[in-house]
Amino acid sequence: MYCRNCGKELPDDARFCTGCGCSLDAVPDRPWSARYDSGRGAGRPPSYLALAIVVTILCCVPFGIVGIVYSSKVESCLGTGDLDGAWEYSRKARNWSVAGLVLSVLFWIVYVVLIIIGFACTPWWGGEAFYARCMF
Amino acid sequence: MVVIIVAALSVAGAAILVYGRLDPSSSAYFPKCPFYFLTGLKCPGCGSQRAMHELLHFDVIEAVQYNAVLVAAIPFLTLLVLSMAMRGRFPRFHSMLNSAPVIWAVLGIVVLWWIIRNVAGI
Repeated sequence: MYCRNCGKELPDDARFCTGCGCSLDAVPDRPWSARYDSGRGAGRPPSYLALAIVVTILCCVPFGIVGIVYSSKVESCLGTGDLDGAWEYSRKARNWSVAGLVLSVLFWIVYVVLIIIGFACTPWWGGEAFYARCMF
Repeated sequence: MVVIIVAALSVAGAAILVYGRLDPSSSAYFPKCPFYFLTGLKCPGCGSQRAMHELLHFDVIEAVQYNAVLVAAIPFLTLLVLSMAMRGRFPRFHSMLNSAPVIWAVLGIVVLWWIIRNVAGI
């Protein structure tokens, strides 16, 4: 068997690791991917500040402002050493900003589709030359 | 990740084409801000489309008159993206730009800008 903490090869009946001193009964059997399943990576979480600013200024103000607030909470948690809290706020900051972005993109798609429908209807009353002049 | 980058680049390319070619201040095809439409008040992003058009024609002064915060945000956003890309090599630069005081300052500027532009009419 191998030590779950440091990976050193050990006899099968070992109760303590001779490499790191870790107790082999006490370490819970948690797959290494568990922390990724919960959306939590290793190290410092990103604050998504840039994304939140872009969303605030270019498209969707309320969502972007919520994103900025959560970005600041990520850094506040990192300041106090609360890594779990920081990851939680990082996830919220990302979700709010991405939601704002997706809403704006949907708004644009609907807008462009409506314009194209408008163009498709103009030949009925002969307005297409007028519209082409307006546009370019 | 690659998909996101390709999508972002194509959206950016299309936006440059549309906003460079057409002037939102005289064309009827650009959407009005929903917040302005509903309340009659300007939001922090109002004027961004016209400012982008002026920026694409290198007219910074006109762009500032349409939306000063947008123009000010572009260098800051460039720094932020650079700091994210080079986080491994310059971790202190990244943590400085992403520190809580900087983020609170950003929030403060956005909210102040929102109030001031409606009071002063800019």
